[in-house]
Amino acid sequence: MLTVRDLSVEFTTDRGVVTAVDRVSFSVDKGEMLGIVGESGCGKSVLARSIIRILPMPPARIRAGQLTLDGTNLLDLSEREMQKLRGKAVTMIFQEPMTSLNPKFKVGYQIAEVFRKHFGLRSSEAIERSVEMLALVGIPDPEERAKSYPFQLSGGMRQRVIIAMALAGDPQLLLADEPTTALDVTIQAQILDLIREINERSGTSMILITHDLGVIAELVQRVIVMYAGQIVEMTTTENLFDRPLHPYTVGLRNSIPDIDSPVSKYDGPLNEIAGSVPALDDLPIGCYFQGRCPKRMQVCADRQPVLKEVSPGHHVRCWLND
Amino acid sequence: MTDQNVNVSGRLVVGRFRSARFISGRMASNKMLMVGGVIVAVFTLMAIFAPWIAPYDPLELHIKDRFSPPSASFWLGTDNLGRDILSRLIFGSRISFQVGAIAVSIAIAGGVLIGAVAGFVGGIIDDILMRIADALLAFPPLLLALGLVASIGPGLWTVSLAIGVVYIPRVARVMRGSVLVERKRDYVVAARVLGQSPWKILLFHIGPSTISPIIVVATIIFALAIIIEAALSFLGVGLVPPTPSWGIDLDVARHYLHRSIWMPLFPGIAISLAVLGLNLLGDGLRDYLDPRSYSTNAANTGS
Ligand SMILES: Nc1ncnc2c1ncn2[C@@H]1O[C@H](COP(=O)(O)OP(=O)(O)OP(=O)(O)O)[C@@H](O)[C@H]1O
Ligand SMILES: [Mg+2]
Repeated sequence: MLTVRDLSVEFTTDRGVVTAVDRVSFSVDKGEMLGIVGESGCGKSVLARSIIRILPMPPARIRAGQLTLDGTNLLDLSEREMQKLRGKAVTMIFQEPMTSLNPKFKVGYQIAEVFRKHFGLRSSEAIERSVEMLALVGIPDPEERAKSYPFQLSGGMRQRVIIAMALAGDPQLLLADEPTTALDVTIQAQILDLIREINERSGTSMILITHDLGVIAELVQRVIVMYAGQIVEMTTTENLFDRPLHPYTVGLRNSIPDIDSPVSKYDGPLNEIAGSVPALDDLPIGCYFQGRCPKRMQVCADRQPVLKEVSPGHHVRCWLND
Repeated sequence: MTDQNVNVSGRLVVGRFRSARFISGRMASNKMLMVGGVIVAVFTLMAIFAPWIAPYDPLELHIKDRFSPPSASFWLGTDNLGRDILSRLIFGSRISFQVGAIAVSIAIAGGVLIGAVAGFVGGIIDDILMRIADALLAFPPLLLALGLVASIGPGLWTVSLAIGVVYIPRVARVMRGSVLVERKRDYVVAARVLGQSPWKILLFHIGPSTISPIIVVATIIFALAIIIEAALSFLGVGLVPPTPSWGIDLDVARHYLHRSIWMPLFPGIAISLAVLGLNLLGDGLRDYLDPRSYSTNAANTGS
């Protein structure tokens, strides 16, 4: 459905050109939920924003061997054509439910806007449909809630409204950039349930960005692990937890408590990965992870490993697997 | 804990916030707002109902009563030609507020358009427009207006036009600034990913939030327009005598300082009071409409 090949995003900054996303290739099937994990600054948001093309250009520059959604080459589209696809073919939801809704309009009206825009519905019809959407995302008393202003709703409610807006255009692909990070834990679980339910019911493909491996374990079938703009590992969720191959993935894996086993069971130390991500304008020759890698070898400093398929569907960028 | 509970407590927070810190923080600005509002309202009423309020025709000469001090028949005295000072002041407010209104309309129309384009389109267009604006802002407004009026001639409309044009860059700056802030808001980006057209985004999501700063700057420009009109008229290049302009009356009074203290005193007070009122109103509105009070409000409703 979505095919990305050799997608790079560069930013022109005061200190030169930095590559925030570096030759990333992957695809998402119809109805699939793909996860993207990685530390802050590794390029997750930039990647998603480049797919839906809302990066400021300049300073951003997008290059790709291929970027197609359902056979449409997104990079060939003019801004006008892209605008028609946004909200309908592909849309995005963000981390901050508190600020992602316009405080000046009622939520029902804001959802109705999408129906008016993409299906040319008249106002009354559009409002009816938005009430249906509110019901669909599990908001009690949707008729009344549609008349609320965003400030009258809690964070969880707002995120539901935002999801309703995103679904109003019936998109084929939904990019969710840390949709639950700003919510407290109980609400997080509810929103994740909702996202799963929508994915199952509507068959919308999703890319779920998070730095919470717990979210990955719960929701997605396949995971991309990013580091300094590159994919370092791409595999099924099962493999990610049971057979992580890249030392960085192993580090991420060990930095969370074991989900299935009781805390008492000693399963290796619960570790932060030592050191920090290198700056994008100061990347080493060779493997970008070498400075923090416990299994560093000579070759890591000399040459950059390539992303290799070591077993069917399991890709790793590491000299250990050569 | 369900969403609903959070919602209820969210409302409680708003309630508490409003009743305590919120209100007391707004008290000071409310006072400015009230005093300024009252002064401006009085002048506005005076301007509108001048013919009914003024005791005399502002041009009528009472030859026998030249230079008379305040008295029962002439409350604020008369000038060198025996014209009633009070009546001239009242009609003068009409002139001042006409100039202010026309100048502000022109400044807002031009500035909002240019600022919105610069802020929203960005890039090279923004660079060019703002470079020009900065260059114009480097001149003292009075000097620019003086040059403009000198080239297009005196009169109410030309003076207003000149003042309006002079303040276009200032409005453009304010407008561009708030568009730049607004366009980065999460809900603007969210509207984009939902496929809203740039026009709709500019009008619906960005536009409303720029109204408050524009209202504030409009009030201040109104005051400045009154000062500049008075100054131009005082310098003899603005309105033409015998128009009852405060500036003209001051200019005339200048020649008779040894005969009458009332002639310069009252127009001077009128100008100061009108400008003070407008500035108080502007500052009060600034505090009252401050977007920060809006967002702290929103932030405090959080779960
Ligand atoms: N407009 C920009 N100009 C220059 N550099 C940028 C710009 N936007 C993002 N970057 C850079 O791109 C890199 C990736 O940022 P991105 O926001 O994608 O990270 P992320 O993985 O989403 O992190 P987080 O988990 O904190 O959201 C960062 O190093 C950032 O500095
Ligand atoms: Mg991000």
